[in-house]
Amino acid sequence: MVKIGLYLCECGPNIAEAINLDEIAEQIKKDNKVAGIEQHKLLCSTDGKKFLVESIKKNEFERIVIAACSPKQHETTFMEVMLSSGLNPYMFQLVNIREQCAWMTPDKEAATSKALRSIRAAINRVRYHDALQQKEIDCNPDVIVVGGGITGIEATLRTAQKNRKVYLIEEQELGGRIREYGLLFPTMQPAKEFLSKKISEVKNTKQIKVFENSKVKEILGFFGNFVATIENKNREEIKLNAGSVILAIGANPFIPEGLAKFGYGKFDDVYTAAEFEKMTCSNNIITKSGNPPKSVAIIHCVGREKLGYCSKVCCINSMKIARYIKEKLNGVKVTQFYKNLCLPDKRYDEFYKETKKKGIEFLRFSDIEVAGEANKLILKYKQENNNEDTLPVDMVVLSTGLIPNPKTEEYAKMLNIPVDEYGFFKEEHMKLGPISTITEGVFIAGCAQGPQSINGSMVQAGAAAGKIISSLVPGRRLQLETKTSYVSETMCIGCGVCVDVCAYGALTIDESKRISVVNEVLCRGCGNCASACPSGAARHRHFTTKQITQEMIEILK
Amino acid sequence: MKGKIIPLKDNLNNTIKEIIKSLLEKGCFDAILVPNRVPSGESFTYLLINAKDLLESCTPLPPIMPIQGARALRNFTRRGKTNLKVLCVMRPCEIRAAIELSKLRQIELENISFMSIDCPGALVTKDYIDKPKDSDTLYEEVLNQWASEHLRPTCNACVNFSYENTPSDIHIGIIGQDNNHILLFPMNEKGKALLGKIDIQCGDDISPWQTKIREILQKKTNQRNESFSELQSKTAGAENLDNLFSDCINCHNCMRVCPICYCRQCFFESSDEVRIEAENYFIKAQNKGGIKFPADTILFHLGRMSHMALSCVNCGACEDGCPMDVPVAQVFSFIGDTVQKMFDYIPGKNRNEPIPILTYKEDELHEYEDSKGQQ
Repeated sequence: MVKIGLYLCECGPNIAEAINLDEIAEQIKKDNKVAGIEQHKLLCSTDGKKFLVESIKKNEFERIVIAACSPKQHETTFMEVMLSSGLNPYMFQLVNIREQCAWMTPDKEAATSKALRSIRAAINRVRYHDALQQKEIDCNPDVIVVGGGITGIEATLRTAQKNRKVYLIEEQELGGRIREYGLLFPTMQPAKEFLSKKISEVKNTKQIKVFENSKVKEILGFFGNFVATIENKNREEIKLNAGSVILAIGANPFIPEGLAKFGYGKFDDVYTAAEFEKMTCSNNIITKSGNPPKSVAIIHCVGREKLGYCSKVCCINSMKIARYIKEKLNGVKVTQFYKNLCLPDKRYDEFYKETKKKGIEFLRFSDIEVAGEANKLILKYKQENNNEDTLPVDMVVLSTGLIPNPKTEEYAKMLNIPVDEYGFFKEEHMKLGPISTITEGVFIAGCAQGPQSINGSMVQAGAAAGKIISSLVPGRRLQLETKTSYVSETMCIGCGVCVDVCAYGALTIDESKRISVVNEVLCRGCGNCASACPSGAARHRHFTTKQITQEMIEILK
Repeated sequence: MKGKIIPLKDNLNNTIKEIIKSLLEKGCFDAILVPNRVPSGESFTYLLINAKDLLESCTPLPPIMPIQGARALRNFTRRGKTNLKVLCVMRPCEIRAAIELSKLRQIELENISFMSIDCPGALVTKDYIDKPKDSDTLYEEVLNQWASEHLRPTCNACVNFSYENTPSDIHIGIIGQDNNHILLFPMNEKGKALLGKIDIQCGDDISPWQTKIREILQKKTNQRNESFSELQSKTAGAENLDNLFSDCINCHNCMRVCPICYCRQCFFESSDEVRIEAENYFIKAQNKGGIKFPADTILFHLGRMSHMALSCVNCGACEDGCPMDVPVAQVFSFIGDTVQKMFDYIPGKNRNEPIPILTYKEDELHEYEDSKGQQ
């Protein structure tokens, strides 16, 4: 019989006080399924690990069950111990009797019986574990960055290192949306100054190759080995090899066409904030009649309801515009019409207070309409208290939010990543994977993921770069997920159900054999295919039916 | 909608046969897949025919359905499309099963056309082979009444016995008008072109036939509701379910004749993983106070049900093939109907609509969530 060793960890008082470990040892001994049982104060300590290695070797155990804490905490620790003991790390099962028993079940007897059940299940299971082998593949450390706005530029600069080339691909010229900005909030630094510094840094870095006026036609492959086909400015096709991709394709300002009450497109002197920004770049703020405006109204949250989300940069941007006007035009009256102010940064509140001090009026409305006639705009609005009022102005600036780049969908399809309900790229997980995607090696940063400030975009670019630098090390091979799925050739009938349920694109149909095959590089071992396959052909290497059945038999006993 | 009313030529099967023959003669098809009586005379099977004289012995609407047509079609298109143009003459449930199988890559529909026939149901095969001659006469009566205790129970409760929800190319109506005519009409452009090639112009009013269909549909719907409400109580709870399947001898014949069960080898037969050590059976026996062998028969039925309930076309083949008369088709039809309604899905109705198991929507089925377990 295979020699199974059971180790019970006291976890200091954490487990020892809540569970009767002696009772467990006695019961398991009676079952006569393990070759030895040992108890220790703290198995994860240096001492504990040393004890484990020595004990495993001395007793010549072949499979190990450790009853301790959550696998989230110490599974890898103990798998390393397995390696040091000369055993395959997968010949091991960790039973979580701390979080799931000791800390959950106040009654000691109940906690003990629950722990006993789980330990018996693990002993039953570990008998059927297979020795899984770690696989490695060669990988390319280079990076493809799509989009040459500030996010793409920052991501490029952060990833470019000795031994790592970065290809930055931009459809127009480097700089992105910021090229159309006059000043940047909250520093009021000229955008040009900021941008040209960054761009020259890109152009002076040897490892970076910039493709301006170029288009991505196709990106194929997987983490560690992507191949992109791009069309450069001379309309020649070029192939680029890289190990990862950062999508930084940005967002577009919302155009309030179809929202009749804001008068956009109807009156000459109604501009979107983005259009107004261009005017500030040329330093020439005049109405259609050719005179500088004596009064300007900035309306916030235009299209907010239609879009369904807050773009979080437009409030502060409106204030920046207001301050610019106030500074440039003597005696001008600037009024901010807002519903809610969104100031999500530690510096924004101060910026708001300063803006108010400069004599810029803030008016809260519940409804507003841009009326009047050419050269005589009149704002009809309802105040917070529902009192109706009017205000004649010379110019109206509509502060609109950001919408996804129309190319988002195209890239999403190309790289098998989902888009969210608003049309932005969907991150892998809002909190646990905010810049990664379900396609390993493809990252999203900046406004492509959702509206961002420049700071926010740069932080995300840095985060994506960090992910790549830490996982694709030049000269090192890529370690693949070991606990993957595979398809039994003799059982598979090629119905393709697994192909449809795989979120990672890891399964395809081999048309010559008419059966499905797993690309182990893409497989992340989620087990969707194994659960959907009616034939039992798609299987998970570490969650076999046998293992699960054996585990359940003891759990449900 | 207009059709073509054709006078009956001595009997129903011969009339349909003439139409098939002329389609073959005009080169519309290279071969016909159609039921034929077997040499013993006691049963029927599907034949793939490309010679006109062989067609003489075909029976487009046989009284029984020992082989589900979709299984026959799967036999020769499983490894890829046929280069021959083939017309399949089948009952509506057989066509719907074929459509489902095409979505599961088990049938290639390219170059395949379907001719559907109003189906009065199929007699129970076991009864038929005992007395083929008497049963043939009996079937004549069924054709008049459109219901009979001798039919498969699921046939009496079938609501998709005509053209609706069956995406064939040509449909043959045999109800309505009178007993001396049948009705022919195209279901799509392809069907129209085919009928055009054999000089059939569809200008006849088909509303009397449609009225009759609605009448029968109402009767069958009532029958279905009645049988479902009975099954509701019979299937409620583990104990009832156990009783319902207690006669099962685990022969897996239901799986073998099911058109949708497409696995190369059934998981419940092939897998060493469902067989457990002797000691585990003792544990089970201890828990329950006893364990019957063969074990896990219910598990087999539930497993099969979870795999194919969404695609179940209520053909009744499983129950027809059961040597122990377990009401397996009735149960599967009831459960199938329930889950199909959950997803607003009618199996085989639409060639381009994926089976719900193949689609994932993040935002659906909230009504089935455990409200206490929600975040």
